[in-house]
Amino acid sequence: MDFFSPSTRRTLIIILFSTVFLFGFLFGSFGQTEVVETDPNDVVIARILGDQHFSFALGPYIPLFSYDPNTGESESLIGSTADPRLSLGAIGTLRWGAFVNSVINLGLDLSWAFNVGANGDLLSQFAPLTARMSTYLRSGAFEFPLHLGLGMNILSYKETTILTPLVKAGGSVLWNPGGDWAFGFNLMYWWIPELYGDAAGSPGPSNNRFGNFLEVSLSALYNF
Amino acid sequence: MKSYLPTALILLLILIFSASCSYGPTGIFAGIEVERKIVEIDTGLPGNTVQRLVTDGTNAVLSNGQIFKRDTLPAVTWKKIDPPSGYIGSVDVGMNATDIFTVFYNASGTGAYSRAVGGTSWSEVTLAAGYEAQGVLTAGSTVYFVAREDDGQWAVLSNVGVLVPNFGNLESFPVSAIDTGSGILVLTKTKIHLSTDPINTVLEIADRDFYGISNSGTDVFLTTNEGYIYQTDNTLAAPTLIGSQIQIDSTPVPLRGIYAVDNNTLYVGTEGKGYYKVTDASTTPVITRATTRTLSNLLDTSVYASTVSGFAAAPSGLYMMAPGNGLWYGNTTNAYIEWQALTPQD
Repeated sequence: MDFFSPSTRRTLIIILFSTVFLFGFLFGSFGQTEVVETDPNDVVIARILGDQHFSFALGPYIPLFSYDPNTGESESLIGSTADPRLSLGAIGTLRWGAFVNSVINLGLDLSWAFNVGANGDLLSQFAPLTARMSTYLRSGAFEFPLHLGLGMNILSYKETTILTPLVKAGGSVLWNPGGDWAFGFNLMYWWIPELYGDAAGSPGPSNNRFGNFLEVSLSALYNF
Repeated sequence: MKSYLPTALILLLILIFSASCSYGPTGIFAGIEVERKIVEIDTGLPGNTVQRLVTDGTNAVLSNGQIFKRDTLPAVTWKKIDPPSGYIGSVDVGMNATDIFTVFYNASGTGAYSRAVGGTSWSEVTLAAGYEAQGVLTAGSTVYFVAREDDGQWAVLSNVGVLVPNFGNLESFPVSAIDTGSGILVLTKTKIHLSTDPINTVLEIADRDFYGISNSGTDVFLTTNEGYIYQTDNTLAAPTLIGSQIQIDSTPVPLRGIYAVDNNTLYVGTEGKGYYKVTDASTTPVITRATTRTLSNLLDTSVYASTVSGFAAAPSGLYMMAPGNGLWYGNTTNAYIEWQALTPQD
């Protein structure tokens, strides 16, 4: 499915990689290593209480499906070439976290994601505050955090703007090349309940849906 | 005290964001599920008032002051069919499976003409002496000319060759005709006539002015200027009221054209209030003003505040005539109709 023209797609990819690696280049030179290197072939990453990190992630945001709890049926949110619904979108996330021990990291995420509707309208999802907990697995220079986040999401499309809960879960692969910087690949599943009551002006419970999206992003992470 | 600060801030944020919520007619994801891409096409059709549109299921012909014809949606545009020499434009149009029938006008009067659907030239149709063509009515496979008699009354003419009255001496202009299978019904403002000679008034309802008539195949549905929808059978026996009087802010809504998809599903046009959809018409009717908005563009505003004078069958949907506000095509195969403008709007 061609949601972007080849030139737009190329530009987006260049911007994505440039941003991630520019961050890495600019801040990486000033960072301090927390990686203990006893041997070039034996990298050990140590995190202790109070270690913090800050990261920036950018990548495509994939609409999956919406689930109707009234009927139990699901509808594709991306549609087809002949019947498009939402385009492939993009997402950016700022993440702060602090370790409470060597494997548990607690923090906050701020994200903005967008997709474009069948008739060119912007579906905006701004999640200004998501509480997140991550559990880290490690192997050599690689870390494999598993994330679970709970927050709020300002969902906006055409004349409708609503505040919804947000649950996201996923994992990352982080590569620590040897400085304070790490670079990673993230997969996050977004679950967005859109629930209405019977209040006047509300579309009503028949419009209740659970939106499902997938974030695929690359990130640059600074440990301090 | 400090430990309560983050919680208070979060609650404050939620309060602020909640206060700025605004709702549309549907939920966001529910709206996205049914939204369809609106294809803009250049139909080549000028003017925003279509007087009448008729179709044989594949071809469609309309009169908007000129005659235009199109084959199927959405691949082709409307093509103008020039009037015969000496005529300025068209008054009305009708068609059956083989021919198109029109009334053209010029400074000195009108003329009745026909041509084959795929034909290239018009042939004049001769009316009986003392009649001047003023309109065309299509009732199933039969097409009638509406004519003004010398004495000022109205007549509906048909026959092969010289057209003679099937219905004569009508008190008001016959606006439409349908073939119920049990006979031809001709609708005027106050009466419905059955195709007998002399004419036979088969239905009048006190204090009601008729505007629209449609046949589902087994039943006949009527709209009135006073905001009522009636249902009866093909013999027009004892009409029953569907629902109650349609009102907005305690004011009756004048109803116009009607289209019966079947006995349970009706589309009803209004004067200046868009259209209504009636479901379960034969059992427990639900009459709802169409609010199945696309959420996407100005189509909503222009359709839902328009006068809707009539509907006609179209491939996978309906044509809707909104005088002064264009001709529209709606795909009725989706749960929500998204109207596509076929002519420029005001």
